[in-house]
Parts: sequence; structure tokens; C-alpha cells
Amino acid sequence: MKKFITVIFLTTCFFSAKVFAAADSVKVIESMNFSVTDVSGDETNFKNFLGKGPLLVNFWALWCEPCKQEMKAFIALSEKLKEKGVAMVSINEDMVKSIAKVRAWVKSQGIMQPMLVDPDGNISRDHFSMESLPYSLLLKPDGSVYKRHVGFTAGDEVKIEKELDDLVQELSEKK
Amino acid sequence: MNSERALAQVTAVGSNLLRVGSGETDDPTLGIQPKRYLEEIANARIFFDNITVGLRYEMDDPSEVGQSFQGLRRRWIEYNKDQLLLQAGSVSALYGRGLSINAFEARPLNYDAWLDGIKGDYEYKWKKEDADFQPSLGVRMIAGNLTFHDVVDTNKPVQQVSARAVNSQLGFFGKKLILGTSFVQAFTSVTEVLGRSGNVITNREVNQPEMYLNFLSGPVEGFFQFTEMRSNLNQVQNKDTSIFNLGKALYGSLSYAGSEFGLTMEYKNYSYFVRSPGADNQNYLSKLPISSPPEVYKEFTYTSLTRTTHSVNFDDELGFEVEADVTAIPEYVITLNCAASSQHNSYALAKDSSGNLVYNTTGSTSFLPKFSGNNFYPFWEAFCEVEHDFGSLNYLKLFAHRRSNVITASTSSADIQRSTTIGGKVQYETIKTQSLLVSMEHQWMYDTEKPLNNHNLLNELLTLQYSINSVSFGGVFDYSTQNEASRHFWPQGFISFHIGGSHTILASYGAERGGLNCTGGICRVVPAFNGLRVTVTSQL
Repeated sequence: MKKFITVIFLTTCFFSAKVFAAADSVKVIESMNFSVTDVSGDETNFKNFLGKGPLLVNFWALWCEPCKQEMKAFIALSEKLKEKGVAMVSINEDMVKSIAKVRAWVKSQGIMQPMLVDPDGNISRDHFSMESLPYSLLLKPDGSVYKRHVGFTAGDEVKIEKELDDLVQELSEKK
Repeated sequence: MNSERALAQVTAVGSNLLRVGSGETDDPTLGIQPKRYLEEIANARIFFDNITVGLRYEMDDPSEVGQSFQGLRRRWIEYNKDQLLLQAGSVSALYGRGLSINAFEARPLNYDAWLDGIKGDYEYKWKKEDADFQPSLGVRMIAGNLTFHDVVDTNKPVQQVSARAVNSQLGFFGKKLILGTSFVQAFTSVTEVLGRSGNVITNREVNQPEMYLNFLSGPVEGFFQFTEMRSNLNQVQNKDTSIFNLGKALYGSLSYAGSEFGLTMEYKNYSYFVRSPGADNQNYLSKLPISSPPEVYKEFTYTSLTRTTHSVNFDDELGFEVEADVTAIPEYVITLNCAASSQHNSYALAKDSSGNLVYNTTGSTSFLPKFSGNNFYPFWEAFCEVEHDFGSLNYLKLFAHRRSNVITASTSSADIQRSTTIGGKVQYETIKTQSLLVSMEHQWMYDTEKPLNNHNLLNELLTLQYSINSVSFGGVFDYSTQNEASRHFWPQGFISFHIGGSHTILASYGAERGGLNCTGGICRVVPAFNGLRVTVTSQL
């Protein structure tokens, strides 16, 4: 009985919070206000990547092959749609086992897009409640989530490009 | 108006994981046994202004690995504003590369080293106009309790850990140079049932200072960390005592990140608790469960290589790893990797002057791994992979790998695994939104624990996957000349669906071979499984 009440309480809290957010017409990006470190050791705030246009967020690790494929696809999409304000940021989830290799791998692959590191899982776990890799997000300029993607197989980039086009059109109509 | 504004500040994210399995497993002692498991994990994060509430409800009953659990596994509340963070409830931390504090969780292994307590972080950065070399000072602390269940040796008693740690970091030049120091104080208590004595308790106090340095200069990055673990056993199985052990751990890495060439070198020298096989106080003086330094060998993505990987002995191991990524040839990526390790000492049984059998040290090494003699538990491996990019997401990968690993050793014999593995992977987009993925691995293995055919066996693994829009399906075909769990062939079919992007359902049916499952240096032997698995992942 105690467990049942706990589950009901949690579910109510969760969906209540969602209702509060959904009922509100002004989306606030306060939850996107947190410090991050990139692969070159520079610190910034995640909200600095927002506010300009759609943002592709790709979570990846050296051991996750589909994640690296997704990152490659996102790089191509963000370059193709750069003039429409589309940008991307990748967040590396390698733990202490492989973190020393990340920077050398990223630079040798010629990746120029912003690359954040998250060795203790703070970003993925505490800010995005990520469950597993591959995982990616398409964020609106205000930081709210437009689309989520769990898993990635070659061919998914076609659907993601369609979603990007839809979002770009939606944003231009609002202007 | 104020309440509307307050409501506007509330956002939430969540996730849900449901895993169900039903079939049979190959228990090492009992043989083929029915196996069922159910794991349901619901995560929620609620953000309000500068406050975050985190919750995780878990129902792991019956569990696939380790103990069953039902209830709130995690609950915490966090205040984060500017450079100040305060958190209470379930807390974790990573200082440097984890030689003293790396309280992490590995769910596939049911390994959990999070603390129940409090955590605080604060950082102050001087502005560039105030100081040219842009210094910063960060202070972190964590304190809490942990009830630790060993997932590697489930016969070990539960360890109660009460720990507090403080860390300070001095940064210069925009944190391109970091000097860090930490201090950990922990009290551990182990309760065992000992024959007629009933419950007996062993208590330990640990004081662990450490320092680390990180520098980044252009393409070169270096990291160095050293810690001393000063353990004092003040009670062993209810008897007051005072046994002191000085453990040490050293880790270093150096990397070069160029546009067409990347090189990373890592070194480890872990001696948290060096002792002969017959030493008293086994494991009471081992590394704390909240410490977890780097393993210093590659995390592979090929099944044949991960299934029989090296299990690190953090109490006594030294070694190195070198990895190079070469992209100088257009459309080609070449990865080269080698790693090696051994214990510090080799031991052999001999009779002392009284005729008693004792372990004598027959050799030692302080800096580089030693391969002369199985009693050093030597390990080494070499790996090469070439990837050709055909454009879009089409690629071909070919790899070769060689490994030698001593699993156990005594004066007269040793369990040795040697393997040579070749294979490849090809991905091809047949038409838009459809793709084919094929992976093949062929392994020659010499394993002294496998008695047939002079310990030689062959392993073959073929994986086929076809994806159409949001659906993927395929099969895994695993074959070995060695009979395991009464079979040579392990076929498995799978299908997965993406629903609306936020949800994925994966179902597989068939037989899976057993092997090692390692995460963060924690390795667990996974028994063979034959049956149905269903996993539903949702992000909300």
C-alpha cells in the first residue's frame, strides 16, 4: 500500500509539473541555465548555445558507434541548414576510463562544432534525465524541447531533417 | 500575477525504463535454471527557479543482477545559483580522475556507490581585468553514508561506509592550468557471520589525501594525480587491533590533439593494498568503493573483445595504454591501440625454516609491467582498426586484435587466455530511410580453462540488422567449437521500434552467450541466457 501511494504521488508530481509548464504561454529557459565545460577546457553556460535558432543536441561516447554516426549526420545537417540558424552541440558522456582520449579523437576527426564533456554524467542525468545512448534533442531557441530521439540507425537523419525544416518554418511564421 | 509567474518557472523532464526477461540461465553451480526479471525505473527532474528536485523510483523484482529492490532509489534537492551549488539527498562526485572520489553507478551491473548525504560546490573566478592570469578558486565537499553490496563477489558481506571529502581547485589562465587537492576521511564497517562467534565486526578508518594537476597548452593536454590511502584497522572480527596499511595510487595521461593525428598515452600504478595471496585481512584494506580510477585499457565495441576482457585489480596493478587516431588519408580513419599491465610482485609457495608453507616474493617491479612469469598476472593487447567512409553514413571497418591475459596463477599452474580476433563491420544506406548493418568477428582462442582440443577453440559471431524508417530487425548468430551451456550455437532474433522519437521498444528472443560485463573497472561474469527480453525506453 505504501509503495502504491508512493508511485501515485510521484506520478501526480510529475504530471502536475508538466501541466503547469504546458498551461503557461511563455516558456522560460531557466532549466537550461547551467555551467558546462568544453573539450578544450573552456567554461561557458549552456544557455549561450540557445536563443538564435534550432539547436541539435547529440549525446555520445567513444564506445557508442550509433552515437558517432548520429553526430556525423548532425554535423552535415547543421552545416546544410546553417543559414537558417540551425546549430548543434555535442555532449560527450565518456567516464574516467576513456575521457583522456576524447580530445585527441575529436580533433583528429576534424570536428569543429561545440563539444562539451560530461564525465560525471551531471548534464545528461541531472539536467536532461537521459536514460541511455544514443539520445538526441532538437531544442527551440528558448530551450524547450521540440523533439527527442532515443536510439539512432542510418536513415533516421532524413526524418530529423524534416523535423528541422518544420521547426524552422514554424519559427519564421511566428516572426 | 505572481502565482502565474511562479507557475511559468516550473519545468520538468523525465524518463522511464522497463526491462523484462523470461527464459533460462546457466548457473555456474546449479546448471540450467529458469530466469525471470523485471526492472522498472522512472526518473523525474523538476526545475523551479534555482531549485531542482530529482527522483528515481525503481522496482527491480526479481532483479536480473544482484539484489531485488523496490522504492525510491534516488531523491535529492539541489539549489544552484551563480557559482554555488548545494545538494541534499542522493549525491555523487568525481574529483580529478577518481583515484579518491568517483562515486558512480553502473546499472547493468547493479553497482551503486552513490552516497546518501550532502554536497556543496562553490567557485570564484577573478575577472581578467583584475588579474591577467585569470585565476579561479573552487571548493567542493561531499559527505554521506553508503551501504555497499559487492557485485563481483556476492558472498562478501555488506560494507557500511561513512565518508566525507573536501576538494579545492586552483585554476590559472582560464583553467588551462589546474592544481587540485583533496582529502577523504572514511569509516568502514563490515559485519560477518563467523561460526559460533555469530556476528563479528571489522572496522577501518581511512584518511586519504591527494593532489592532481591538469594542463592544456595548444594541442597538448596532460593530467597527473596521486593519492595515498592510509588505512587503520582498529577492530578485526570483534578483536581490538591496530593494523596500518599505506596504499598509493598514481595516474597520468598525456595527449596530443592534432588535425590529422591524435595520440593519447595513459599510465597507472595502483597499489591500494599490495599483499601476497595468503595474507591476512584480505579485502578489509582494499580500495574504498567510492574510489574508482581509470582502468587504462580500451573500451571496445566488438562483442568478442568485450566478452573476455581484462579485469583490473585496483589493489595491485601497474601498466599503460597508448592510442593513436590517424586521419591523414582522406576518407580513412586508422586507430591503433596497445595496453599492458601486471602486478607489482610475483609470489611462490615455499617452506619456511619451521616447515610451514608461506608465500615468498620471487620478483618485483615498480614502474613498468613485467611479463616474465605468470605469477605477475601479465596482460597485454594490441588493436588495429581501419575505417573507410564511403559518404553519407556508409562505411566499412576492418580490425585485428591480439590479447594475452593471465586470469589466475599459482606456483605450479596458471589459467591463461590468449586470443587473436579479426573482423569487420559495414553499414550501407540502401535507399533513403533504409540501411543495412553487417558485423562479423572471427576469434582463435587458447584458454587453459577449456579442456578440449588442447585448449584451442574457435568463436564466430555474425550480426545482421536492417532498418526501415523507425523499425529495425535482425539476428545475432554466435558459434563456438567449445560446448558451453550444452550448446555450440547461440542464435537470437531482435526487432526494435521507435515510436514518436521519444520511445523505443526492443524485443529479442533466443540464446546469448555468457561472458564478462565490465563498466568503470567493475567486472561481473554474465551467465548465458536463453529466452525473451523486452526493453522499453521512454524520454518525457
